This record gives sequence, structure tokens and C-alpha cells, in this order.
Amino acid sequence: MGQAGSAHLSLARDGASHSMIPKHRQSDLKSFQKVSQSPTNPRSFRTHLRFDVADLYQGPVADVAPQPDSRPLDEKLRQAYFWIVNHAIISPFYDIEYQQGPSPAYRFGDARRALVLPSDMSYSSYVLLPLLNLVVRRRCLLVGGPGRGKTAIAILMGVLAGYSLREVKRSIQHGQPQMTIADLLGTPLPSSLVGAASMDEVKIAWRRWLGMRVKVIDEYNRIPTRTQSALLTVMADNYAEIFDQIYECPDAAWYLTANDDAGGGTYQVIEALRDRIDVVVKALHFNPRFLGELLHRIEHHVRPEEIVPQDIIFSEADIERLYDELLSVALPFALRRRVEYFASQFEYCEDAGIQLEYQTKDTIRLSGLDPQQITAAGSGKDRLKDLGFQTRNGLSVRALMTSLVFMKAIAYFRGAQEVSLEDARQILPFVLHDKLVQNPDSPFFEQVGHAPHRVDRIGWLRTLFDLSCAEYDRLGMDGSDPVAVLQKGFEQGLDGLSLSVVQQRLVEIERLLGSWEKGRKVYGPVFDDLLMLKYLHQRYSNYLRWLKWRQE
Amino acid sequence: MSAEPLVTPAFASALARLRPRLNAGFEQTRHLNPRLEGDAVKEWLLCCLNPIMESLPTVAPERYDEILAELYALGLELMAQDLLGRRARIPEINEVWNVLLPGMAQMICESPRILVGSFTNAAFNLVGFSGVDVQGWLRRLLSAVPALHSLDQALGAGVVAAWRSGMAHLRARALEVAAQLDPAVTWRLLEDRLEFPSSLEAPEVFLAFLASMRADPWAAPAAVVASLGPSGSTLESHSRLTLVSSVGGFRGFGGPFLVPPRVYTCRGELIAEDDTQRFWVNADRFGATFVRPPFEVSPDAATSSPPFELRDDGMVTNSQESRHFRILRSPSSFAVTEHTLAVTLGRSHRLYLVAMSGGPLP
Repeated sequence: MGQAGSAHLSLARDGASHSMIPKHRQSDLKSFQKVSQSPTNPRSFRTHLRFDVADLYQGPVADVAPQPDSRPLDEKLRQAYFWIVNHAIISPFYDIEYQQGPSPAYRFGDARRALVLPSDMSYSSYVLLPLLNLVVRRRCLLVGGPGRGKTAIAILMGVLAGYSLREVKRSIQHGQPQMTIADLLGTPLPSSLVGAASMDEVKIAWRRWLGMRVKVIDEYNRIPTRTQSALLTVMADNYAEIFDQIYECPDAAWYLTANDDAGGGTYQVIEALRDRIDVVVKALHFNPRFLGELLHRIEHHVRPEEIVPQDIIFSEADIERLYDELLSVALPFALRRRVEYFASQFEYCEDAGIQLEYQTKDTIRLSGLDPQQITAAGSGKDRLKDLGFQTRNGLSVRALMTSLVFMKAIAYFRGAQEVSLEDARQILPFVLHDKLVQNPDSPFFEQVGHAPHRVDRIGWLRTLFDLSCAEYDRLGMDGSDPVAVLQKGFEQGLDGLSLSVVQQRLVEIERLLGSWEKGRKVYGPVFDDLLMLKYLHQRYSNYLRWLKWRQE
Repeated sequence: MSAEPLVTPAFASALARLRPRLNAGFEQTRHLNPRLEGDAVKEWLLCCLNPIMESLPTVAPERYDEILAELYALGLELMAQDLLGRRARIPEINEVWNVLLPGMAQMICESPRILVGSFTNAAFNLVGFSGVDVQGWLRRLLSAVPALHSLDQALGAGVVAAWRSGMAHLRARALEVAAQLDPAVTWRLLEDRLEFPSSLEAPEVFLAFLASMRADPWAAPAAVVASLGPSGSTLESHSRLTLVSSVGGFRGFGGPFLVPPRVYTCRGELIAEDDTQRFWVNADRFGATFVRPPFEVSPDAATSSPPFELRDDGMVTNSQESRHFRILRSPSSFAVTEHTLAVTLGRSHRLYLVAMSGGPLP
């Protein structure tokens, strides 16, 4: 029924049901939409293969199909997005930019920064990212100064998930310095506490918010450290525990708000909790040109969260299905290689260890030493060219998995069957915002015009990805990637491989390593490739030993 | 509208409870559609929504507020487009809300938006078809409403009534749907001015009735009933070649054709075209519609023994009789389906339809 609008239009334009289109109908079919039709995917007019009696009941009132909503869910998601930006959240920004063909760019300011007019449908991160988070059920941190609508958008997400406004508001956990674990999770029932002979007889009055599929933590950086630990258990492991009693929480989309993203606040946010944040969204400033809209809302008591259309409410089953569908969006191999190449830039640190596997920034971090002391001597590598030098850490498995999910989510939202390079480029900065820590000593930031990268982390991460892709292209990795060839051969399986084939592959690996050994500087991607070659060599060697044993 | 109707206590208290939400909805709608007037909405609330909600407390008291809010939102949507209320450009939609819906509380409760939206859309669509008897549709539905007990039945009845009111292309589907309805309801939708024949109470007779209606697009319901024996077997009926209808017309007068059309068959269906457009013609006892063909069109090959033959002098012959129709002299084209001979004349923008018919046409 997401095509209902298209059907309306097709009836009007095809004149399928009329000998003449009455005048009174022509303008109606163009303008009558309460939930705006997603213009992301203009569909061709549906041709009636047979006249469907259901057309009798299609008209100016949309979505009256006497059957379960048959709109594609990605369509419904887009409709939700456009309703929010058109009617709910005033966020007239298109900072997630897509291009299709030439896009005019104009330069302003002393630094001549570009204002690009995107040539394809573009989006506001402030609305899109929370909406995607609702679907992928991860943890979204909304940051920005006070009064910028962080809590408002979180509440809206709760309403979109089918909760009443009252339920959502009452379930918000407000961070404050006196918040105890009991405040957060619940308290034992006094009667059971008195009579219990053992811990497992104690009954707990669990807080209602634990069972909700949208969880909102307001000002999470005002929660005391001890209570943060309890929150971490819920966020990380999806259960709450008091007095040995466990409450298993359902999968939920989390929205945490904070006035700053540096982890500061009334209490320092514990690193493990910060690390659990999957995506960071900045509340963008309010453009005063839209003051009239605010005035209208004040004068007429308009509260968009009270009038969310039923058409864009997602049931639990909808969200489950949405998630399954978005996971089926393909990640093309060529793009995956670029993401792998990008991700491999950051972990390697030659001076961190003796054995290759331990030459990582994490080794330095675990040692407690100052990374600057370790790397001060330098290794002769070009610190400007070395993208890894721009960061103090590498990417965790969790960060990579979240990246993959959000890449698929944004591609799905745009109606694509596979993730594009631009999808990856647009979404990665928001996912990696808190994951990659800048190395302030990197000469990159000293370059002319690069100072804002210290502050604008989205811009910095996008530039990082672009530089990585540029290097990938310069090396011709799409056409020449011997490790990928070897890996692909390995992935076809060991079963049935003869002794000679295995030996041949071992020789190939050793030959490649030999060729790389000669005077080649090791940067992050090469480091990971070396370890991959070692892995393949080990696997083939083990198999060879087994083959020989079988022959004896 | 004359004196303000009395507001029921349930309605008044619901309005009070929902006041902030309803006001916000009005403001939001007016913000996007500045022509929306508060007085018009108020009038509509009192005169239209109030009566609809009147019987709801007895049917679904616990959902009263929810249904009121939903119908209110729907009403605002329509009023914003001048489709409902005092500025309605299509008065029939007002009639749906004012006349039809008040008796449909039970069905509204099942799904307010689907029921009310569907009938609103149906009225909107029916008005757009020239020759369709929209008032007849409303009247037939109204007579059937007391016997309808579910949303599906109501929507099915709407289809049958639409077909009966002239939407000939709905015939096949309407007869399918009619099989799901109570025979008395189906009869009322087809012949609301005739008494229900008690013979149709027998399931086998009712099914035979529908089968006969399906088999012959020109059959009159009363004649079909009369022709059925007690067990549904067909008795002898008397029919003769009749000029059953002339359909179409000049586009300037509301018809489909710019110039006198030609007619032929494709896949056994009537196709009529002039120099600019091509139509799939559906015609039966209750009306005719011209629809864009939902299939690839290529003329059928001539058959060796068509059901009807036409001579240049207007003589029509079938297996039972021959009859002369002066008006059909010098046809420009003709086409034959199983039950109908369609003829065009070079001097007319209309199609002339001849069939075997046993009773007077409505």
C-alpha cells in the first residue's frame, strides 16, 4: 500500500478507469497525501494486469486496504523519515549528501569551505540516524547543547515504535547525581526481603522501562559511576541483575543523550559504557529562518509527538522484519575490500612489540605507557602518508560489526539492493565517531586547512576514508591483490586438495612474503596482510601434515 | 443545516478529554491547508461526526475515544481538500458520512479508517464514472446496512451495489462476493424495490441464481429467479433479440469518443476505439463502462459461426431468431461476444448493443 500513492497517480495519469478524468479529481490526486510519499524511489506507474476490484476502494483516503499493511517496509521507513522532517523535527539540513551527476559547489569563508548542492536525495543525520537505530536496535548517543531537541527525537522514536507518549515519557531514565542502582533497575519487595531464606527467594519489583523496546537515558553522563556499571550490564548484555535475580530484557533501540561527547559531565563516563555506544549523532543548530514554524507550534499548541500518524507506527513484528530485510542487503566484494583496507590502517604500531602479532596500539595501551614515548623515535615511515598515525587506536570487532549493520541499514533505507561506496562513506563517520581516537601529534592536523579536522570528527573521519580509498586506488588494489586471491582460494575449502596443490600454495605464500620482505615499509594494511599470509600458511601446513599422515 | 443537533453526553465528554489532541490536529492541518475553517469543522463535528458516534457507546464503549480521534483525523484530511463538509465539491461524500455511516457502528469499530475511508473513496470513484447511478448505490447500501454485520460484508456489499449501479466492469467480482453475502442482502442490493423471493433462501437455488447472473450479462434478476426451479434447475425462459443498450457518446458531451468509433473483439472482449483512444467495453444490464484495456490488444480472428450475424440492412440473426433493427443499417463495424452484438455506425459516437433479453431493462 506504500504504492497506494503511485496507484492514485497511475489512475489519474493512465485514466485507467475513466473515459475522462473529471476536473475535480485531477488536482486532488497530486496533492492529497497526509503521509508524504517517499520520493527516494519514484516508481513507474503500476499497470493493471487486470482490473482489481480493490481499486474501487482506493482514492483520496490512503491506506484503506482491508488487509495487513502490504507496503514494503523500506517504503514505510522512508515515509516515517519524511513525516518527521516535514512535520515533527525542524531539521532542514542535508548533511548526509548523495550525488548523482554534477553537483554545483560554492566556496565561502576565509577557508573557502564548499557548500555543495547535492544532486541526489540527501538527508539530515539528526533524523536519519536515530531512525536507522530504531530499526537496527543499537545504541545511539545524541549529543548537543541544551534545548536542541535531543530528548524530543528520542521520544519520537519511542512513539514510532508503538508506545504511547505517556509510556515513553514515563520510562525515560533521567541521569542525576543521586541516581542509585535501585532507581535504575528496581527494588526488592520488602515483604519478600524479610521472609526470604535465600537470595533467590527475593522478589524484585523491576522498573518497567527494562521491558521496553525503546530505551531512553537522558543525560547519561550525570549518572554516578557505580550506577553506570549497572547500566552497562543492561546495555551490553541485555539483562539486569539485583540480588542474584535476573531480568532478561528484550532487544531494544537505545537513545542516550548528553550535552557533550567527550565523556565528561557530572561524572566521567566509564570507558566500557562509552564503548557501548554504536552511533553518535550531533544535534544540529537551529536555523532562525524557521522561527515562524516554532511560533506556529507555540501559538497553536502543536506537539508533533502527539499526532504521529498511525501509518508510520512500527510494530514489534515490523521492526523484526525490517531488520531481517536490511541484513539481506548485499555488501559487494569490491566495497568490502575497501572497507577492509580502511579498517586495517589503524591498529599497527611497529614499535609496540617484538612479535608481529603484538605490534599493535592496543599492546601499548595495555602496557600503560605513553604512546608518544613509544613512537617518538619514528620508523622512517611517512607520518603524513601513514593514516594510522592519525589515530591512537584501531577498530574493534564491535565497531566493525556495527559499521556493517549501519551500512546495510542506510542502503536499505535508500531502497538499494546493495551497499554503495557512498553509503559506506556517509555512515562510517557517525559509527566511528567515538571509536577512533585522534592522535593530536599527527602532522596531518598541522597541514594548512586541516585544523578543523581536530574538531569536526565527522569531517575528519570522512576525509580519512577518502584518503584510504585514494591510496587503495593508487595501488590498484581492485586489480592486483594477491592476498585476496590466496584468500579466495582458501575459502573454497581444503577438502579434496591434493598434496601437490597444497605444497604449491605454500610456495606461493612464501614467495609473496619473500618479495615483500625486500625494503618494503610496513603500514597497517600490509601488517594485516602479513598476518593473513601467516594464517593461510599455517592452515595449509596443518592440512599438509594431515595429508602426509593419512598416506602413511 | 437548520438547528444544531443535540450533542450526546458521550460525544461531549470525549471531546473534552481529547481537546488538546483534536485542537492540535486541527492546527496542524490548517497550517498545511489554510483554507480549513474552524466553523466548518465545528459544524461538521456536530452534524456529521456526532450522529456517527451516537451508537458507538453501546457497541464499543472502551474504544470510543480512539475511534472518535481517528474519524476526526480522517474528516480533517477530507475537509482540507474540500471533499467533506460545507465546502465539499462532491456532495455524495457528505451523504456517505451523513446518511450511510450512522448505521454502521459495528463495522466502524472493526476498523474505522478502512470502512469509512473505503466508502469515501468509493463515492469519489463512482462520481467520476459517467452514467453510474451514485444515488442508487447509496440507496441500495442503506437498505442493506441493517443486515450487514462485519467490515468484510460491508465492503462486499459496496462492490455489489457499485456493480448494480452501473460499474459493469465489477460484475465478475461482484458476483463472487455476492456468494459470501446473505441471499436477502444480495437481493436487496440488486433489486431493492422488489420483495425478496423466498426461493433464494435455499442455498442451491441461490447459487444457481448467481451462476445464471454470471452466465448472462443481460439477465434480469427477477427473470432469473422466475426461471429457476425449486432445486435451482433452469426452467424454460422466453427471451428475444433486443436492442438492449446504446453506450458511449461524444467526448464533448461526456462520452469517451472524439470521432465515431470502431469496435472489435480481443480475447472475446469488446474493444472500442476512435483515432485517439482504445477502450475495453464492459456492458451489462445495469450499465456500461469504458476502461483502459488491461491486456495487450490484438483483434481476434473471425470465427466461423459467431453467435450473432448482422447484415448491412440491419437484420440480426442468431440461432433462435432473426430480427430487423432499422437503426443498425449500414454499420461501420460490429463485433460479437458470447452474449452481445456490438455495432457502430459511421454517423454516431455510440455503440449499439443487441442481446437476447427476456425482460424490460432498468
